Amino acid sequence: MKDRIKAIMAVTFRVDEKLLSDNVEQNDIVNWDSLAHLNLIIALENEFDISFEPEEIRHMTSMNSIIKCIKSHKE
Amino acid sequence: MSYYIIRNYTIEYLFGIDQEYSDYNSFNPKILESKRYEAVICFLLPPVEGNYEDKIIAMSAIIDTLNLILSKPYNPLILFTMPYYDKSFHNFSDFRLMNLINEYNRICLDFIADNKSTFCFDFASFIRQFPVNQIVNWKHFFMSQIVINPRFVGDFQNWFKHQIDATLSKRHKCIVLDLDNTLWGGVIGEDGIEGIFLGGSYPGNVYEDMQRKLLSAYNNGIILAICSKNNEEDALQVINKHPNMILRDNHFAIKRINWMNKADNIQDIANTLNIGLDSIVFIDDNPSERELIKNLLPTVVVPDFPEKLYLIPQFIDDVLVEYFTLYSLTEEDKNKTQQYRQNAQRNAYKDKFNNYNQYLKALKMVIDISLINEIDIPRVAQLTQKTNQFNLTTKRYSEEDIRKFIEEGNIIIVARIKDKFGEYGLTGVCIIVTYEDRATIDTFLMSCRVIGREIENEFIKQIILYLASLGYNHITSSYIKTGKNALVESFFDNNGFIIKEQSSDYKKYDLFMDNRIIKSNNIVEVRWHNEG
Repeated sequence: MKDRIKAIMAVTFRVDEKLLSDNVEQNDIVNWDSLAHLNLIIALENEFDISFEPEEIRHMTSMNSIIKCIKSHKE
Repeated sequence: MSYYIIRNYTIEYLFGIDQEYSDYNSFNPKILESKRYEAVICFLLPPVEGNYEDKIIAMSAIIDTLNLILSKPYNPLILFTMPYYDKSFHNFSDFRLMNLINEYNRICLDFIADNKSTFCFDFASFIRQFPVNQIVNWKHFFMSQIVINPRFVGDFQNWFKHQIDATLSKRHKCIVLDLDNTLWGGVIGEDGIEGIFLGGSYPGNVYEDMQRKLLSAYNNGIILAICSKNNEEDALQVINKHPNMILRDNHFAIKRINWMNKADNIQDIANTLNIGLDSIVFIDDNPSERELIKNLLPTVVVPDFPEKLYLIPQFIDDVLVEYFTLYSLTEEDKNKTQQYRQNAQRNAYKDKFNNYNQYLKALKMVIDISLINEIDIPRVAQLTQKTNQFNLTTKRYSEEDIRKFIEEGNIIIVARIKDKFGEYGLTGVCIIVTYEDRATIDTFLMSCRVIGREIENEFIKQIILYLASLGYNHITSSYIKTGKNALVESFFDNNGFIIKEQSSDYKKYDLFMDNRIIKSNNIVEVRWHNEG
């Protein structure tokens, strides 16, 4: 799952996938602004066929929180 | 090259971050004069917020916006047809909203019938393939002003690419030019700046004339580039200093003036501009250079250069017509009746909004200004946290910081904005730190959703007037540069502040009230609520 998320992040934020660490956070990436966040959420919703709730979306600002959130939907 | 997209909702997820987007519900016509976009796209969606009557009002305003766009059409211009998917409660025999949307589409279709380089993309048909109850995604709407369901993003991108391929793809984008004996007569490295032919009588007038034709290409959005074997210094001397040079440094998007092989240079130009080799036309008087490019970069267009130099200007015109003209898809569909009607209609657009200020006034914008209230504190802190572009100093504050400002007797002014499309809420903040008779603007920011329509200028004027009324005759302010706030680099300069100190990262300003008359611009209605 991490690799799929990283691939999406790389495209959304225009960064080299190799530069994304396993616990990347919003603060690490300059391009991760509010608009990019929206694009990231949309790409994740489409990729994993999930609809996140607004409260979740606000907190999905790191690899760890994103994975946690996706897992909770898949259970 | 990117598109400039005029929109009324969030659509960045459909087109990606490389494009430029208008403000919501409005755009500045000056932007369209810049000629730097591959195309301007008008992608307005029917209003979704409020009840049926709200939508009728908003839809009339959208048609006004469309008319303004068409009064000065960009070349090329792409109009999206507007889908109808409204489900709001209304009398079943009341078709006013559908009528307005039909009117919007009819204006678009009539317009493209008589205007070259104007296209309609039938977005309404694209949307029709989806069930009506899936089109709007309410979660994303209320969170981010997104209307069209993000699930459709893949389908949308395929559809859009297909439309673009069918219309703009035949258009080449860039002319790569040699210098010696192409842009001017003679060889600069040998003949020197006094020895080359450019302007004056024959043969210099030939080169001046051909440059004028290229200037018009530039003004029509065609990218000009240089690829020449020369000492860069020599060539730049002509480009910057020669009195008869028509094309100057700023007309060329990219220059490769060196002794390397031209195929590598052209490849490099294509990569740097992020355009395909097949969108480049290469102009060089030297047959061996042309042969090299034909062999190594077969997709680059390499027209034969005329042997008689007096044929060069006509040759340039021929090239422009052949490779850079856009044909309207519906050119064959034209008929006389339509033309007459169109001409009449176009004059009507012009009369309706003969200037931008009138258009802005028609938006019926209102700015409600007040001192900060307890309930505003979370929103004000949030705006300082997340506003990047229209933010003069980008200082981030917590709610506690804001409270402290208030307790210490400083002034925080907030602005709420509305217009005929609806309310934007608290979208402007100014924090002023006071000391004796001096007031310092610590923070001035506005949400991007409301800027570009004179509101920001009215807001700062009102603040200056307010501070003056309190007896602060000396106002200081500053601009602190960040990666994202170039938009406001000259904001204080444009509003009468005088630069006191300046470096590449910041500017500090003074404003003394005694020698200043400040007038409201009368575009935005101002309402003060001083009870705070």
